[in-house]
Amino acid sequence: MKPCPDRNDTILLAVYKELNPEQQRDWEEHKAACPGCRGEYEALLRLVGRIRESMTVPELSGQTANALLRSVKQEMRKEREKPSWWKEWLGRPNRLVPALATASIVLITFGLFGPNFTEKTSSPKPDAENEAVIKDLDVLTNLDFLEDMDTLQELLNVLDHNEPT
Amino acid sequence: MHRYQQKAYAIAYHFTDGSVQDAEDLTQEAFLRAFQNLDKFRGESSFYTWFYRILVNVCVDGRRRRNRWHKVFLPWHRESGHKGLSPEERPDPEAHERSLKAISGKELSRDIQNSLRSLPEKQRLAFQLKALHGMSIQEIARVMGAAEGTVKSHLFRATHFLREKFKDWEEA
Repeated sequence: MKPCPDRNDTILLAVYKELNPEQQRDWEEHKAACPGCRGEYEALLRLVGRIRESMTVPELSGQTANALLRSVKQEMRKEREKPSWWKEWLGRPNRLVPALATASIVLITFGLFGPNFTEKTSSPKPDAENEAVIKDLDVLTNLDFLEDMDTLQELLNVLDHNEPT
Repeated sequence: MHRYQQKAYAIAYHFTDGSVQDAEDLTQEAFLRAFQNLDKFRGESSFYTWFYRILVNVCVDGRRRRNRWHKVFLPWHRESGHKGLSPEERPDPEAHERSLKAISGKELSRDIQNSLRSLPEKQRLAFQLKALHGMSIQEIARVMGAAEGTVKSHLFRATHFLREKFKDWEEA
């Protein structure tokens, strides 16, 4: 006999003991009344039981368990004792001393022969306002020359006017 | 650590298809990884679930490494028609001809193991954790990092596949 098609999931959940109390009650009632579902449920229980039997795991012997524990502890100790890369690097004087000496030489050389920043930084940059003042000063200094240009222009106008047609 | 050792070993043992050495190595690796990441355990799930998640990841990684190794070093493996299956996983044509009714208990056990191996990884994992290790669907979902509905689906498909495969045995 075939199980009820709408009960497939319930049967599986019942086999795996995943039904909540209410669903379990409902299932028990149905199982008692339906031979198809009951048969499928029992077949699945047997199948899962058989699979469980065929997949037995050898017991981990005390010796193996202890060896496993020891090796994990040993690895952990190694990890803990291993210093971080920068500590390891700094901890070696044969690397730290030359590095510090090189850095000192570079700093001293740069300080002696490098560009003088103090001069550069002391001269302020002309801003827009200063530029305008400089332009005005330029006009004032050339004012005489501009007045002469006006006089020449007027003279030319008079000459043009007096020229016979 | 003793409390989890046997169970962790059992899960790893099933993952490695019964290789004692590989199972021990994977168990050790899982414990090491768990200790190294102990500061990342935030207590959102039980320690048991958190640890088994690490273990399952270690086992999945281990299996992928083994499969890669097989693909690289066993070229004839790819030449066969059954891509992605190890020699043990390939269906034996003679086995189809034989009636399951006639095979002995030992052969049936071997057949069950081969059938489990031929399941997709997630279906097999869900089935093993539920049927062999008695975890609840909720726990499996946490260990696999999947929704409970998804785990149910994997579990049901795996069970249906095995049910169909061993129908003859059941009827015998």
